[in-house]
Amino acid sequence: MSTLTNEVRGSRDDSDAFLARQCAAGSESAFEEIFKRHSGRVLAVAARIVGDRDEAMDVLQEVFVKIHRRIGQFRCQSAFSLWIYRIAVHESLNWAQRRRSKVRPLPDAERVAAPQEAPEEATAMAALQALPPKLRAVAVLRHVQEMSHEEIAQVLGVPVGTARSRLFAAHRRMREALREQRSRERSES
Amino acid sequence: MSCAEWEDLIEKELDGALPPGDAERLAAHLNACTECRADLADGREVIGLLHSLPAPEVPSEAWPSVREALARTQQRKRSLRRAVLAAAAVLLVGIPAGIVALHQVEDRAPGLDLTVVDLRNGVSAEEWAEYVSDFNEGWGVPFVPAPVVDGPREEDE
Repeated sequence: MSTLTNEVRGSRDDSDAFLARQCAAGSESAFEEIFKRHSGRVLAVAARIVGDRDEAMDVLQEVFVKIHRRIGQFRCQSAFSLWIYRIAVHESLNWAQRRRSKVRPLPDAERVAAPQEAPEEATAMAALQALPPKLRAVAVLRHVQEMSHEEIAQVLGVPVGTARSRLFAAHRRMREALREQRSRERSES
Repeated sequence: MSCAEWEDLIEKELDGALPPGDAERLAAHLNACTECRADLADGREVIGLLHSLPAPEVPSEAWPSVREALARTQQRKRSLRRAVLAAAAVLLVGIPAGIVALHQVEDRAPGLDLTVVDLRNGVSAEEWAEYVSDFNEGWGVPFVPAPVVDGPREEDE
């Protein structure tokens, strides 16, 4: 860890809100600390929504450029992590929708199955990729990031009832995707 | 009650939010209905798979690449600021002279189409809006941009 980051760690207040204020005042070490704390969850969300590791790395970079640009607008009215999730989900959805409108979708196997993936992981990713991006985001926030309906609603900027009904719709579509995959596997074997 | 109507209870069960009274009713229905039993089992399976997804590791080169991207963004912002200041200077100095010149030009070529230099070239609508906001805060001068239409520009098509 760099000396600059050690300076931030050594200060009495190392809360996210303090780091955000330091960063808004121009501290690069504070921003580096924010990156260290939150990049894992941003990458997890981006990788699951975008469905491609390399593209998720591009999203990660975009998200942190936006966080840096907007950090002065963070007003501590919500948790800093939820504020970051909001930017991460928004950017991932934009990315997924842009790609959907420009690129021919790949077959399931090509799209999600990296060679090192366990079969369970490939099945989970195929089920997620079967969802439209907005439903995928809800499923990821609920079942990968383990958020409550209220937190999901806050991140997406929708009423709690909408978050819940999107989640139920996502469950239904993922069940169907799982069944389709099983029947494909049966017909191939 | 049809299976479609049981679906709501199945979803609540999958979400861990089924009230005890409903849980008993659902259990009784599941004993008799293979379709709803399969819905619940498949739902549990897919949710279990999502829970078990490993967290991706952030590679060590991620932070340096973010830092470089930030430097590029800040460089672009500085260039944009210089361009706006230059344009503002040209307008301040040039407007009085321009009015006279335009008058003369229009006398000779009525209906002449005048094109304004587009400072937004290569800049996204969002970046432009943020830049305008920064400019107003930093310089205390109201700077009202022309409406920005997000999407592909003519020269991109």
